[in-house]
Amino acid sequence: MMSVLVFAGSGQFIALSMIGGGASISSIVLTTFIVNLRHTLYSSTLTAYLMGQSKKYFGFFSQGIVDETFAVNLSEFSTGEWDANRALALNILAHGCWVLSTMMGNVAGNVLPVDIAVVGYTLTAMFIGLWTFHFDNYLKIIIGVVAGVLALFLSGFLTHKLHIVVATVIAATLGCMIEGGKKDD
Amino acid sequence: MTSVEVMYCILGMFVVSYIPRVVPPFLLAKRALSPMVERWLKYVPTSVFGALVFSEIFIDGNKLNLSLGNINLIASLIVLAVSLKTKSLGKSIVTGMVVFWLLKNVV
Repeated sequence: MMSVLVFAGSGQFIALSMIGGGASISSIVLTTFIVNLRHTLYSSTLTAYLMGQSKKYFGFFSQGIVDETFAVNLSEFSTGEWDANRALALNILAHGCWVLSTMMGNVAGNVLPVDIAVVGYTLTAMFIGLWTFHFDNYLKIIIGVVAGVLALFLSGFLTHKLHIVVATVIAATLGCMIEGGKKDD
Repeated sequence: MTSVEVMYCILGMFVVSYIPRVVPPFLLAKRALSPMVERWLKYVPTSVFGALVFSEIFIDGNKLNLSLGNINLIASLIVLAVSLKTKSLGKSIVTGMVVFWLLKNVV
């Protein structure tokens, strides 16, 4: 259900952990919004290659934009052998696989006996893995750690897991400012 | 959260994840995002994962657990090493599960 409508990968896992942790609806929706804002960047970049397509096309195409489909579409478009229909097919195929694996996971989860603490830790391990994929320079690593420490500090004052959102906004702003400062030198 | 609330939550998530994707083709067709916003967005993923990872590791119920005996911490350091070395999400998660299970049940 969530996979059909939201299709956001990490955004969905984050939401699940927040629902499990008793977060409020508004803080989950707000976090999802911030985490998925990067799709705006992807969507605007890909639009450059898709001039002249219909509104209906963009309506469907946009729903399929995630980190992975963006990366593949952009590299295919920039090498030339690619067109709007193939890009749309890729997005729909990726979304279809995502929904199917969610359903399989659901069934397997009901059948297999699992230690709930280990499952809980799976999420942490996955976050660590996804996090390291963004370690392409030292500043990003530092900003991530800053966000982590801030989140721990803020968790003392903010309820409903809002500390995640606030820590993210502050740390990202800091990263943006530091990078801007370096360029001005 | 009741299942009705979960439904509302999913609908809300749908709205906020669909709008940022679908608006650019209609609005900013030819204009690029401002460099400032683009630069800010670059730091969002690392920040959100940093905040989540630290919270998952160090917050236990309602209190902080900063001790070195925190099994979340030990397992996470191993997962971090595996992930940086292999760049594989699958291997990192499986390692994490095995190490966590061993720490919890054997050690």
